[in-house]
Amino acid sequence: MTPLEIALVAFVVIGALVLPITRDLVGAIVTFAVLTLGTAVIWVLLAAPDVALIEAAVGAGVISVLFVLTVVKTTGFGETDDEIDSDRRFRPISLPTLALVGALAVPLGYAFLALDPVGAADAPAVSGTFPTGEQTPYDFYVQESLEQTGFPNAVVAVLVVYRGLDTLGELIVAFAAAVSILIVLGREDLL
Amino acid sequence: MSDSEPVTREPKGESDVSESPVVRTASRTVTPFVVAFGVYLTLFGTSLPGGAFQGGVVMASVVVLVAMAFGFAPTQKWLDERALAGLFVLGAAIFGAVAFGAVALGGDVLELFVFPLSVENMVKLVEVAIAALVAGVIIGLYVWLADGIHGGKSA
Repeated sequence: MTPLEIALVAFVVIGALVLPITRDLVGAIVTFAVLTLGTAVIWVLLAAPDVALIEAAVGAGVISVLFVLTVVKTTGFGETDDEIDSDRRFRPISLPTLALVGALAVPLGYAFLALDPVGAADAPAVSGTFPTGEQTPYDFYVQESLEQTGFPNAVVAVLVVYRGLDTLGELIVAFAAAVSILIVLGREDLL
Repeated sequence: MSDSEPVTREPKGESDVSESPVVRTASRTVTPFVVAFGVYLTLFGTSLPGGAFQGGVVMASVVVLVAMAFGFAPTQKWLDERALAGLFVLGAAIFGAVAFGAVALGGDVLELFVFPLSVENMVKLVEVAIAALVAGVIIGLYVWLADGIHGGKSA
């Protein structure tokens, strides 16, 4: 790992550790936004700019605003930073919660360590054939999508051309969400 | 808000309106550039990283940014609600028309090769529809859910 990657991962991990125990609600939301932005930069370093754009726009931007709105509409901002004594700036750590989170983190960390190194040519995810000898979908899209569709971004080719029905279903869900908000708020007249 | 919620602490003043001229000027200044970036991501997603979901969210985030800087109530007055609902209905309609128009032209559902336009241009049309739907849904979610933050109809 380069120093930049180490610094980013440390940044995200420290943010994730501070997030659940801080008492300052607005501070927690800002911490969440900033650590999500750090995650977005990690996606860029992992050569996944499409995911990075979504992570930055949705995770860091829009979701943080949703949290702010939720906090304002429910409890208000809670205690702000200048009202909290420095010795009780953080919540006491609850041991059962810590045990539960640890029980989740151990298998996840184990699975993470079992992954192939980034960019390994023989990793299963980027191999051209299954052990049975058939061509993998990854290999098919990389080999064929430019010729079949005529444009180079294979991600968009998969989303719209090859798996278009999945995308259509995804958008029907988003459409249904917007329609149900209007119905819940009694604004069906807009449709 | 007529129902008495367990408000532990009232936010200071006009909570969702920023009084900072820096925030207002900055959000005013970046808005055209961010919209242009969203359009770019949508239209050039076929050849560069990006795509309709990213472009739609980036365009919608501008309205959310403006609402955070200038307040949700003024933003709601400024937005035409029918146009906003029309945005995602139109997006869904275009995508649906492309999906089932292919059947009318003798192909399978969403078979883009049967249209007279090239596949790349059909994908761009679908991308514009997706971006309109995503942007409309996200803007609508915020504008309508924040409704009542200043004592209007509570969500």
